[in-house]
Amino acid sequence: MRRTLAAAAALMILGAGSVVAQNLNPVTDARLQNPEPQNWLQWRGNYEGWGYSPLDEITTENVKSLRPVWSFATGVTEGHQAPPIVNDGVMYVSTPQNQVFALDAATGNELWRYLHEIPDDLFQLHPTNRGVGLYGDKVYMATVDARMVALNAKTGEVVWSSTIGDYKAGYYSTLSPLVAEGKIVVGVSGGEFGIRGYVVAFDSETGAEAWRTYTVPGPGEPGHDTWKGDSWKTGGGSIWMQGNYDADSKLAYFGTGNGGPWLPEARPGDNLYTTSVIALDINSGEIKGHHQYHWNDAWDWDEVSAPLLMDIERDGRKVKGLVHAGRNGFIWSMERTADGPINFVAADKYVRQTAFTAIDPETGRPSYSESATPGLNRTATFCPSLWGGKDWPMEAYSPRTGLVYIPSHENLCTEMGGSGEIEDYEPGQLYIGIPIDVILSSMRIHESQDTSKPVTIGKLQAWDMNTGKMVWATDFKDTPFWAPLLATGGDLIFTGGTVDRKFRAMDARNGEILWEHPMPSGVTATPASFAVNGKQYIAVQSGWGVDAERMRGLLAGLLPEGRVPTVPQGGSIHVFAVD
Amino acid sequence: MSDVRRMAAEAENISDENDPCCCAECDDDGLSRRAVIGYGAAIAAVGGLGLSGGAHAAEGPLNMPVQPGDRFMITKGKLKQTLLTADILESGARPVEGFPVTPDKHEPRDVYRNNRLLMLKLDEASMDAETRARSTQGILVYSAVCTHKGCTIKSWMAKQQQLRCHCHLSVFDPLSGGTVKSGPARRQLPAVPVEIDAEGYVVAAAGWTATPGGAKK
Repeated sequence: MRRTLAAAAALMILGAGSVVAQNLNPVTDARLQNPEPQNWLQWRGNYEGWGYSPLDEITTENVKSLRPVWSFATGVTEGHQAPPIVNDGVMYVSTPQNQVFALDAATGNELWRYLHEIPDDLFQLHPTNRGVGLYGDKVYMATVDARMVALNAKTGEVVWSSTIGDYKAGYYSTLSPLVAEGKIVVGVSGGEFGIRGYVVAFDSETGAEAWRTYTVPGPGEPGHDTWKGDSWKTGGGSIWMQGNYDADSKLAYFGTGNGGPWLPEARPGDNLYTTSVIALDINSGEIKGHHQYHWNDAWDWDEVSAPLLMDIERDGRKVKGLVHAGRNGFIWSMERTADGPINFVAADKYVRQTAFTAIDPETGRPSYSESATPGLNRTATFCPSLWGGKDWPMEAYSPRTGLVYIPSHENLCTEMGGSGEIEDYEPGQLYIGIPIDVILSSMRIHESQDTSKPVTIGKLQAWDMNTGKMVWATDFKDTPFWAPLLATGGDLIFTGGTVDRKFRAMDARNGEILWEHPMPSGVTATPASFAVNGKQYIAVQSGWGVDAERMRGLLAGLLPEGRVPTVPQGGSIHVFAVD
Repeated sequence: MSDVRRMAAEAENISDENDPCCCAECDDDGLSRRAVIGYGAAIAAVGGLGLSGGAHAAEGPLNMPVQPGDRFMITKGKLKQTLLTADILESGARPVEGFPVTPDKHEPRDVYRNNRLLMLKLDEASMDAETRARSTQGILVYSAVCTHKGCTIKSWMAKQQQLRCHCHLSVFDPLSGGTVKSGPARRQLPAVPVEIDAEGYVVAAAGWTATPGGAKK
């Protein structure tokens, strides 16, 4: 029996709340395709990845009365990024160190908890988890030691546990699972360790591996000719985030990470399917279509998040669309097709971008500025920074306003380059190609900014994808903005992401801040909304860490003392409502 | 200025830390060129030993933590697979990475991943008494595994003579027992007390001062 099965601790708390757990409403494909407004069944609320709740009890008028209902300590530090997942009054929350809490969503009473055993020798570059998946009567979580764990939704007991990858070779998982058609679909991170990325599906009942599709094609596979020599074996293409899903075509859309090592000379060629969106047949795993946002990445611009599935009408052309705010600084509008091929529609720059000189209007293929492209023997300065215009925190789309909301970083750039040689590959150890001290000193504030005054770093942007124009933006100064978004039917945007620890509500129509609340730690988690007995709640985790803290530390060194405060760590779950 | 802010500010000066002034006779690995020339024999003596953990049995001596009498093998850079001697390191230079090796066959104990260690040479007069007592001829051996989340420590802040973990920016002071100077780590870096054996090699005088590895909270 595997270690996880043997040592995992699932603790059942007997009490009033356990009645809630006994009334489990099994999660089905039909429910995931048409989620009830009162539930938040997966990490972005729906398969399309909108991050939108139709609940409208909390409005732009009454949100000023939003108040805490209950909170719950997670007992761990680092980056809490997962949304509370809610099914008929039961909330499931994952945390760093791969804990799962099942709670009564209305009261916070604990039903059970699962504590994953973390190996003593795990190298945790990203100590986080982005959420659980629900399907049937089980709760699913991918772990930082590359395990796939299925838990009994009523008790937290381990039903099965399978291997995603070898953590000792640098494979790990931080994403929430995509569940559909009896498959639990996840992927692997580890692009900084010389991995070869893949998406893998498990049978929801047995845990047997159903299929595995590499994001870096092997010999004989389509796309392999975009690699030279053996570079494909360590080519990266991590899967950091849950894919979105078209239940009609049964295609799953995943974003892929950058090539590894970071330096482009290490892997000459276009490097399919890195920095791309790929369309996977949910039943076979076959890649049916792709669009590579940029080829032979040199900037660490993983295109980690999956595109939103939404209709676009652009220049008189109405399409079933895919929309992705790229780490590379452009918003990509694409057409998805029932058979899989993805067609380029438009690319619109949404932050300062210095690396691309042009984008082919037919194919979307960018051309590069050599002076803004780092190399093995070339240090280059480029914008946006290596964290991109938008990193993993997700966009949201409101069908009421018709706007796409983007949590972006502006005015940050990077200066970096290689040292002339790349370290030897050693499984499970860093394989980046750029000295770590160069990376740790690489951040720059754009020269146009006067740092003696507050500098806009965070920028929440609202875009109309039918026109390709920004409608409004709200700036956040002297702070990183790691701010996954929730849009609601009350025309509100909920988010955190700043060093002042504020969780806030904004008017989705104009960006005005209508309410804010200081939290115990910074908020980089994905908010969710749900209802119990007809009452709407807003839920989010507090718990600063991982890349938000890395950026904060570097930014503090670039701005005058006292401008960028430290952020306390320690996780907690919070639920709000209006009376 | 807080420790964290100071660290971040210092990060901006990291290029200066590689200035040749800090280590006139060092190559990029922070090793003495004389030592590089002088220890070809040692390379030959242990050459051919694989470092891949996969080749070893899961149980056995290679899965044990460092033991008294173990020597230390450099596993990165130009002196890869060289056994550590006192004159191989330049004082104040970037630490070198390695593993302890068994006393008899000099096989690296790398199946136990938390045996990954850093070897460096610092001014004995600058060490606190407890640290100095663990050193020999200025040689110190610390865990390379950050006590926060288990990342391999790669960054050396030469001006401050401090070790920094790139993952979450914890900073450790090797002159005072590996104590945490800033960042999220809450536990000092474990060390291996060292001495010189009869053949001139640096060896472990005892095991780890504490269990190496990342925290679970």
